[in-house]
Amino acid sequence: MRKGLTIGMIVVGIALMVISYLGLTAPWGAESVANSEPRMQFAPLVFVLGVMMAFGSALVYEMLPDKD
Amino acid sequence: MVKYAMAVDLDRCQGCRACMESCKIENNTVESVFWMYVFRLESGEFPDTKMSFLPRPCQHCDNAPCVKVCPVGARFKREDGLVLTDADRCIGCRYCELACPYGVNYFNWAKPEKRQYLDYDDPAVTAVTGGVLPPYKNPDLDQLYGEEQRLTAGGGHFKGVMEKCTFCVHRLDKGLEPACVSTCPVQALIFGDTEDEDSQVSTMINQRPHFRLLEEVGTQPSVLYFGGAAPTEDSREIETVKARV
Amino acid sequence: MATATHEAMLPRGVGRLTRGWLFFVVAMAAICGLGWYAYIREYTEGMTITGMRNVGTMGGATWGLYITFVVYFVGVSFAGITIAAVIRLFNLDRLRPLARMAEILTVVSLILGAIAIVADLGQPFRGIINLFRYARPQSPFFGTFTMVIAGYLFASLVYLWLTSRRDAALLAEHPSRLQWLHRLVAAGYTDTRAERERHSKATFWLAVSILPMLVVAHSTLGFVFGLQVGRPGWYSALQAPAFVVLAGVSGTGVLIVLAAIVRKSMPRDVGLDNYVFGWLGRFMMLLLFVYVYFMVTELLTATYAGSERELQVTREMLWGEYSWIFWSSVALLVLPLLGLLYQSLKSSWTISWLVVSGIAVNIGAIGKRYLIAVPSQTHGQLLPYTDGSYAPSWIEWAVVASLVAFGALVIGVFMKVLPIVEINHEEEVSHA
Repeated sequence: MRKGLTIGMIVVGIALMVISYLGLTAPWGAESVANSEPRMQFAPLVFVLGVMMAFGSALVYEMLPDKD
Repeated sequence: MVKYAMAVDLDRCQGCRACMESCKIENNTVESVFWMYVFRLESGEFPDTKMSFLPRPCQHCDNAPCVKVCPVGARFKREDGLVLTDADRCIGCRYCELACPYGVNYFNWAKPEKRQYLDYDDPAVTAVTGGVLPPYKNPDLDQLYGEEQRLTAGGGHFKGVMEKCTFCVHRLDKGLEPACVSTCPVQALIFGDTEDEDSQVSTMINQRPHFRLLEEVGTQPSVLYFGGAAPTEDSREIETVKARV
Repeated sequence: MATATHEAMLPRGVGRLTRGWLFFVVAMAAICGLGWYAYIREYTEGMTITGMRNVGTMGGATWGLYITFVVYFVGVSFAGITIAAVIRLFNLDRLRPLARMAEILTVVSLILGAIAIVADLGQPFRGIINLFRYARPQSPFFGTFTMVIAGYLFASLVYLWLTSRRDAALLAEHPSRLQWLHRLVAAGYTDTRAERERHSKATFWLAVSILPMLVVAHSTLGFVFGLQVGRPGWYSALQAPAFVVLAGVSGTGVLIVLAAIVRKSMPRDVGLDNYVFGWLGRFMMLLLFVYVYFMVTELLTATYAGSERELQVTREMLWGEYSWIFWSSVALLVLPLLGLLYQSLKSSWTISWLVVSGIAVNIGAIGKRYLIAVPSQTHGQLLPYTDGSYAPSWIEWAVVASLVAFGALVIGVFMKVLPIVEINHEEEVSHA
């Protein structure tokens, strides 16, 4: 349970980082208005939450009480 | 699709700086801010000095470093070639100012009403202006422009944001030319659409040799210089510009 | 100042508020107050009351003391968590007394860096919201904002919390005014073998993953400068690596000073012995060697060839307007290096000399950060603008001083709330 949740948080966290960086924030380039608009607003917040989730998994791993 | 460019004929420019004045009035820029700036340069050693003039608006680069570094996308590139600043989104980090090789960016260090050219509190002035601050404010500058509908025209909106030459985006919207181009007494500034084969700018590009400033840094500016010569390493300003508040 | 007898039982001076400490807190708070006053004036009147002005026609520098200190503070944060992680990864048990102060140094330093960035924005509130809302990855600021401020600060806080739990649990056994806080930080830690193993694994993997993120984060800060083709003196591939190395130097220097202060303030020996200081001295020395190598490389490249405009920046630094800052910063970095080399060869380390070196390299690092930022703005124009000038106003000095004071204050308070030096397995709380 603890291991699963920890690994889950790391995976989801990294996924959020990758998805938001590559797909939701403003695309690289300086040719058009689209390069200055994120594809989803607050995408950088998603990125930051992804980083926090990945590192927060350590808190879960250490502190989640044992079921038994 | 329209693609704007400005042609500067250095053989015609006489350094009168009428373009700087008209840009100020049209765009309501505050003290010391020169969106359009004309260098008055000299090179060589006395008595063999040469004088030259170099108008320097924003170059509206196709590979604009200012657009690339803006952390929040307040500085953006439009498909018609203009590089504009959204005063509502700008956070005032001034990174664009540092990325620009041409030095065309201005930050609003103080409240704009504190940086006008006249003391508008002076009773002699208020008798005439009726206390309106500043007395002449171009009403076009508070509108949102473009398909993107952003606050991109005019300067001195509020403190803490960046601004620079917009190729008079509010005038282009009405089918007019930028203020500097309209004002130049010797038609040293030409403005037009490079996608239009019949425009004067296109004709000049096809017929006359031209150069761009700081070509080597790879910014691909949209301002083309005809005649004259690029500033050399020896060029220096004739007088120190005391444009500092 | 009467302290409850319960606090007298807590180790490492936790809960014991001495007169000297109270005086320190009041002094730091006063400086912070001055900084607040200065910043409120800046916020209401506009940044015109700083010494910064536009580059180009206005002949100023648009990034000045604030950015210098942003880079400096983020730099100092590098060494703390790196040393803590290295201690963990390689089980350097004799250096364990350093671990917690290294971690808190990183956390505090990053917070100061973040505040300094916000102080430099023309629209600070808008800045905080718009960065979360619109930040563009293409801008080097994206990395600084997301990885440095959000990512690595959070990771360091997690690391600090996890490594403080055991000590907090030990202290929570004793009734005191801080018991509620100790219980909170301990979060149910029960020192069983299973928990200790989990803790060991979690901290190991945290340390392993923080280190590469640190290098990426610091490099993006270097890229903020290094990618700007339009700024002679900035556009260089060396900016990112040089940032990382000088960060290590300055951070280790601060850690040396902090360790010396802690050692002095502890009534008994807590393991901050000559071995620990010698290790820090050697670490700083190695980093200084690398940094001097970078400096020489940069200088050689800059003076060997370059356009007139690029050479101008170097000229101003070597014998022009900025030469006094340049040469004193070089001296403040090279002389301590020689001193450290001497001590290393003789294998004898004097703590007071190390402290002097630590302070010296930090002043040198601040000078170097200033030199990275400013000369390329006042004298680094590619178009023929007249040269400019920049001098920080008292507002900028006040804000920066208040940041340093705030950092010192937070560390000072932390020392009275949780043990600044880890408690060994063998120690009993009541003997501390």
